[in-house]
Amino acid sequence: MLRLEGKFAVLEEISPKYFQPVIEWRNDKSLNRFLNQPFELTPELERRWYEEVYLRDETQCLLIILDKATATPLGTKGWTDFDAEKRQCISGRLLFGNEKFARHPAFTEGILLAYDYTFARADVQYSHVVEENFKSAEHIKKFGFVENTGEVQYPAELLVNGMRQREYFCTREMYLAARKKFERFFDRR
Amino acid sequence: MTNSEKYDGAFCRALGVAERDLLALKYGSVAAWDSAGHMILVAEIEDTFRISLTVAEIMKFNSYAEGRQILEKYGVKLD
Repeated sequence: MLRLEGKFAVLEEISPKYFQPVIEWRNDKSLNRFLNQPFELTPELERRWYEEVYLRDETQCLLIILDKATATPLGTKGWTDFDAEKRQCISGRLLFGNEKFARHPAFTEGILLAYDYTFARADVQYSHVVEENFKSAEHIKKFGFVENTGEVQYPAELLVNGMRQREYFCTREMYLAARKKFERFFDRR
Repeated sequence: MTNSEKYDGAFCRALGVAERDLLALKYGSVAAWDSAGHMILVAEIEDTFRISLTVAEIMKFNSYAEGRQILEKYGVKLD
């Protein structure tokens, strides 16, 4: 099981002990507006997905971001469609579940830890954002993503559950350049 | 340059907002000030005033006005 550790955050791969917060976040109407989930997630559905899909698929990963000091689950970050040959994946699965930690460094450090890990194995990552989800688009741009105005890599992601999405991409070089903005904060601590 | 001008400048540089919009600025009120933008803003303020905020202060810092109060604890007088 993958585990990444920083100064403020720990990322642990999804396991049954994290089902409850994930289910709560994914069913929260204020959080799931732009998620690809047109149904109520139940413990049984989560267990089946975990056992029958997740554990059998090495191309995807779902990490729980925890506050290192208190082990409080804050949200999720992960990826799908990891292609070792093409050295690319779809980055996403970002869900900010714990509003009390909105400005806590653990959340941003958790995202950086996930990108550090994936960009050590991939040269480019793609992300798909619902057109009306301006906040998410602005958020991923801070980590180096830009809209893909060239050939779309994942056409099936452009229309999901009736929601039109835009494709963004980020190369390792673009990420490392964007990362410098955060190093000023994290390196001194 | 006064401390207030330095404080305003840190906000403008970190978040790309106009000076005229600063007074009403709150966390989340503009796309630039999200969880990631907050780290960039805190680093800019820390560099400007050569201080290091605690995690509790970073979490409490939720508006332009609140940031001024936090700085006063560090002896930074904002006129």
